[in-house]
Amino acid sequence: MSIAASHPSSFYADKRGILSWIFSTDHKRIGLLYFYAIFAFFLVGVVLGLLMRLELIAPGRTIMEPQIYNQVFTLHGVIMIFLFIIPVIPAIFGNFFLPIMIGTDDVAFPKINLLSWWIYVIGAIFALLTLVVGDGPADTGWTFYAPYSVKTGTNVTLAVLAAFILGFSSILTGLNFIVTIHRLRAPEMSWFRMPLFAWALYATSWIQLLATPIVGITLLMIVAERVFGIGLFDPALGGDPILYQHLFWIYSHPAVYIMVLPAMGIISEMIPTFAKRTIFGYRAIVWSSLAIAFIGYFVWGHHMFTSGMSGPARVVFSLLTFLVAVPSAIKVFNWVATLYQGSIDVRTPLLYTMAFIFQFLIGGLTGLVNGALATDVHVHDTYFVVGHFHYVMFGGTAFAFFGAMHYWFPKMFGRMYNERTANTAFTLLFIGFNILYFPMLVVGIMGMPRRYYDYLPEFHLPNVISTIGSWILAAGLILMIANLIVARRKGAIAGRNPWGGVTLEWQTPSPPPQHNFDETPRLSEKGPYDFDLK
Amino acid sequence: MAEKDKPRILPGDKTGPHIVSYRFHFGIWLGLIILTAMTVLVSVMGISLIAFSVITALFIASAKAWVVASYFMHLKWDHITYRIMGGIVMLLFLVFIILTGIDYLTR
Repeated sequence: MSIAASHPSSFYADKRGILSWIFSTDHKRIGLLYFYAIFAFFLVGVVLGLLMRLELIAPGRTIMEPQIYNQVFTLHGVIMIFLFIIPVIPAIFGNFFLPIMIGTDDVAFPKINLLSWWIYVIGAIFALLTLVVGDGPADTGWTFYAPYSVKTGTNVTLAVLAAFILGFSSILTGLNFIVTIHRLRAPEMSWFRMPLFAWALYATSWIQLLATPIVGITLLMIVAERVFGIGLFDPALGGDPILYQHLFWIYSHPAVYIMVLPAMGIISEMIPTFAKRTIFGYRAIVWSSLAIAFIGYFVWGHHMFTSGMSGPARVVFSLLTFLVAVPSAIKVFNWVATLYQGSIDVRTPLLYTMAFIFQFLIGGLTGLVNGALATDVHVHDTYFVVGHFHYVMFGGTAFAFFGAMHYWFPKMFGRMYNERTANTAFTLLFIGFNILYFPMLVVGIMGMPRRYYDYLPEFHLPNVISTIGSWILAAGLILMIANLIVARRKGAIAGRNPWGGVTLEWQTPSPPPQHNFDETPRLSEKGPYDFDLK
Repeated sequence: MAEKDKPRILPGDKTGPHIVSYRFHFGIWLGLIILTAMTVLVSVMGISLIAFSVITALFIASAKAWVVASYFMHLKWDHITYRIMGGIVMLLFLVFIILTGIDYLTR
């Protein structure tokens, strides 16, 4: 039975037909449009990643030529960064839940919200066009480093235009959320009664708004150099390749916090719900979100320690990098302290939360190795960096995304999934993930360079283990998706509040009605996580 | 005008809704044109003073941004929160210049 038929008072039943979706200005429908589009691109990125791992199962050629390998890892990066990990949480769960969580009926600019989805789709089409026109996808890596990106004959121009267009989608979403949070909070919802997910989105939105234009202009400069021969980054034309790296990372390091801050917001929502107690250190988590967003602007140079940047600049950036670890550690401390003496209910979303904390810790601590100037010089551009990045982004953000899918699934679709199957899928994902990425840290310390098609025989065993991990991970993904698809069609009808949560989305029916609430939601004076309110 | 359609004025707004004359806007536009002409002039004259020409151009561009934000985007009449936000953006821009400058000036 369709959701519209089984939940006649929900927003699904309000209007029917494809046009009611792709031209809808309802934040919930737009959130779901993003959900299907982003998840589809995520699966494309996963397939490309699996192909890369298969190629690396043995030294030498396995399934593809070196040039194809370069293009595959570039497309994997472009899709995973620009089409998946940057928009995934703000665009899906931010759109669906932010207005509900702050007690309003939509975002501040619903039409701009729809426009940003369409811009996302157009940007995605540009990225996919690189596959079928000219000399194929870019082979530069997702960073498009100059001067190679200026000289290669592959479709760099189209790929950077895709990233440029996608940037507008990100900016408009950020702008919408900032204005929504400032102007549309329920009358009694003061700033410090706002849920932590909303705070995380607020901090993220500022980064989206302020940092994204920088990479937009930088990418246009690549196009200007390729098309008009203007010497900006190519030394042969009088340009400076390190300037490109500065401009690129001024955006792309804060972008890392666009990727991870919303995930932290989700974790801050799920932990109180399943510990059945108020969050420990609410204000500390709020301020740490803002601090991460702010300090994150000043650390970009740690990506450039071996690029030829000056010695004093390297020392300054290394010092600043260590500052950003402090607010991240505050969050982890507060999450663990919230669990302490809580009435912990171990459900599927909490398993993902635990995995997030464990894997984010590994990602964070290996980040310190990269942030320290002395050690980074040794591990720079090795698989250690690939392992670190995936521990933060996949082990952190993607696991938080999976956790949020299981946490909010009953609210979004009005049905429950099979928890036993969900837990089995989680187990496969957790084991597969760690088998896939931990060997990368080891092989990186041993000296295996990243982005290389071939490797020395001594790196063979860790690569075999890593590839086997990728298959276990894929099996977990397939099981998780199948379970949720079955649940969407045949799952038991979910009640208003299956987890016993206390934020406003749990006070509205599942799925919510068109205007979000069927009765005025209650707010506690003690803040958003008052378990005495129930 | 119905009560719900009236513009919401936050406490701290200097004037709330306001009207600025065409003459005033024209004056601001003229000022921006003069600043643009100065940018061109500096770039033409500053061939032998590259560092100074860059700094001067940055100052002029910042002044133009400030004028546009203040008058055309009405920040001058807006709530202090939004002026602080504008200030933070300018501060961030300054930090970008300083941190990048540390690299370029100490190589």
